[in-house]
Amino acid sequence: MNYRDRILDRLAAARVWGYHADQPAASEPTATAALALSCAGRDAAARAALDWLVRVQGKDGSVGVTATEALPAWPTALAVLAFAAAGNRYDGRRQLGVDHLLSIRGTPVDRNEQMGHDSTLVGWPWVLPTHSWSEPTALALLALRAAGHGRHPRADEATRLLVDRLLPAGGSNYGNTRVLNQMLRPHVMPTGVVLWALADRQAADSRIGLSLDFLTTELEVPTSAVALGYSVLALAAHGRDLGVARRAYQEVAARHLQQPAASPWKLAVLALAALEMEPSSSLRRPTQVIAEGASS
Amino acid sequence: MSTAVHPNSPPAKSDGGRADDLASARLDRRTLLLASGAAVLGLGGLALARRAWRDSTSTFVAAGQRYDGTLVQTIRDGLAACDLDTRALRGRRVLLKPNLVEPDRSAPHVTTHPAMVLAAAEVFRGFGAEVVVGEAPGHVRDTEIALLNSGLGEALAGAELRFADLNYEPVRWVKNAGGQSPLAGFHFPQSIVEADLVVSMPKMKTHHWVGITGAMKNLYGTLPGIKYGWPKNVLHFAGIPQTVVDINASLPKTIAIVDGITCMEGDGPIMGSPKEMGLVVIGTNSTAVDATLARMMQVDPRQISYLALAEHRLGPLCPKRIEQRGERWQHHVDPFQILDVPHLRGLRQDQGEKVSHLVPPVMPALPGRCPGLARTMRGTC
Repeated sequence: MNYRDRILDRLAAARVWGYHADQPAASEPTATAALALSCAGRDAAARAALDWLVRVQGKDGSVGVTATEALPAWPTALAVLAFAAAGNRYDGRRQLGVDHLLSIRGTPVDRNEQMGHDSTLVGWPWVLPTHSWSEPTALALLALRAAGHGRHPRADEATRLLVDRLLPAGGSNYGNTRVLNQMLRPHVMPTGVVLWALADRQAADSRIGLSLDFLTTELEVPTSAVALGYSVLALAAHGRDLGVARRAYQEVAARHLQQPAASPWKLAVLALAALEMEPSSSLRRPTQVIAEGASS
Repeated sequence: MSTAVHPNSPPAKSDGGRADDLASARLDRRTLLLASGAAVLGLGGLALARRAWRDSTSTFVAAGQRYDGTLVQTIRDGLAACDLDTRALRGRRVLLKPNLVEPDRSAPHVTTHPAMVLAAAEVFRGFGAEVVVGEAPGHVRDTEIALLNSGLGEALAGAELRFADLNYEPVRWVKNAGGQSPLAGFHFPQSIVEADLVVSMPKMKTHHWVGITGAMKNLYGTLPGIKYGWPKNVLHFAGIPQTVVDINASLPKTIAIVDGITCMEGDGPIMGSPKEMGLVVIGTNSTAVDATLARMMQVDPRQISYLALAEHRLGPLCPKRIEQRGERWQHHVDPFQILDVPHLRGLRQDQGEKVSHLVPPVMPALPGRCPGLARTMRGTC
């Protein structure tokens, strides 16, 4: 089995990284591709993706969702991750992105009985000026950690927010827990993103282990490329055995590689998973990039 | 902010001569309404036609329906009964918009059943239309898993139907034609903008904030998460009833085909319980369709904030102005359980079971833009 190199070959060859094969480039797929290609040492292809992000990045450091849509700028966190993994050449861009991330905040809301989560905690929103939600907060936390700002007070508050939004039985969703006294359901992809961000955050909470168990269980049923990819990253970052993900990884990778017009975004997330599932001493693992940034 | 594009990006596709102007890309209401009175007003009568259409319309109700039944015939009959000029659809683009807000394998009653979508697709294909199915799930940005968990992905593949991932398509800005919320306009996905007809295909459900959700609220799912977030919190902050009306007013021509077979009561739109109704409800005016749904759920439509706002702007609520086709809705009233929470207590004047799993001790004190809804809810639901 070597899905890793086949996925990386397809990803590098894409040249235009959109959500779907027939679409123009978008910031999230391009940043995710840049991260994976940098980790894999595919420097020329990574450079093309990184330079696209540089062109899209605004003077304030923000990276809009596409080249023509400067707002919202939630992909900024992913761009910072990509710049951080690329080395010194993009240090200025990385810092510009960090500055932007630290300049924005979700809108807190007074606590009330209708909502289970602590709505006063401040993380990051999808769109300004709205509430903080789990996934953009997790992506921002990953970006801060990768850029060496893991001890920033905003990173600490983001950690508290993400733990607060975990469901009692494990897992996360878009960012609500209990609404009108009804506990909501967990979703795989945001759980993966959140758990990846929470690795090494010294956030002792039984819900973290339960959430990892949830991801493991969900890998036993048919799943998607991005759900699988972020689950693998979460399990790897927490030192869990990846053997449980092997069957799902093989099935999902094979299915997407068969598609002549596979989604560049899905290939990019699968590539991140592949670097964890099929590690090599000559390649960097994405979780390693975050951990190295956090310790710098 | 730079507007640079990737040097290797493919050139923008030609629009094949289609004008950018949205209005010219749609069927107008006169074309689609053959015998409504609007169709025969003649030159200069479009404004009058629209007004007449807002004030009077028809809604079709079919009972005894099953997912493994004769849905194709039911939908075809319903569209004919509502005077849709199906001949005008030949060669036109029809987008079917099911509700996939949060698909879950263990709760299929959350989402529009794939059988409804396939049946509608067969009907519109039979009319010679080009059919695409599109949705921007509101709580799930992993569209692949939404299609897996709802069963819709497999169904569409079997029928060779294209799915438009509305969460991530390129967008085009359209002026807010409703004017009820502070939003100046909406960023609609390409497939929506280019559609000649958008068919709202909701699940008949209760909604724990606004009372019920039907054809109008389902069209929240035409807006892309990439621009509005998951959930689409921008809309919540701008006011749910106001934005429901504004989105409906700003879209291309819409009609409704409602999955009222296995419905949801109680803590909808996600966590409620299944309720068997066996209904399919169809109409060319979503406001009238939703008013009819509400009455069959034994809810006063005028207590639904977005319907109250839509009346006289988008369509009628008064039963005298909604001509009943098919079966009489009065024969199929079956009270839906409603959460026993303060902001929903006015929905029903008389009988009807309420679910009492929660009665918040107090309503949040902050004022909101919409009557009965708290500002705190707007920000976080």
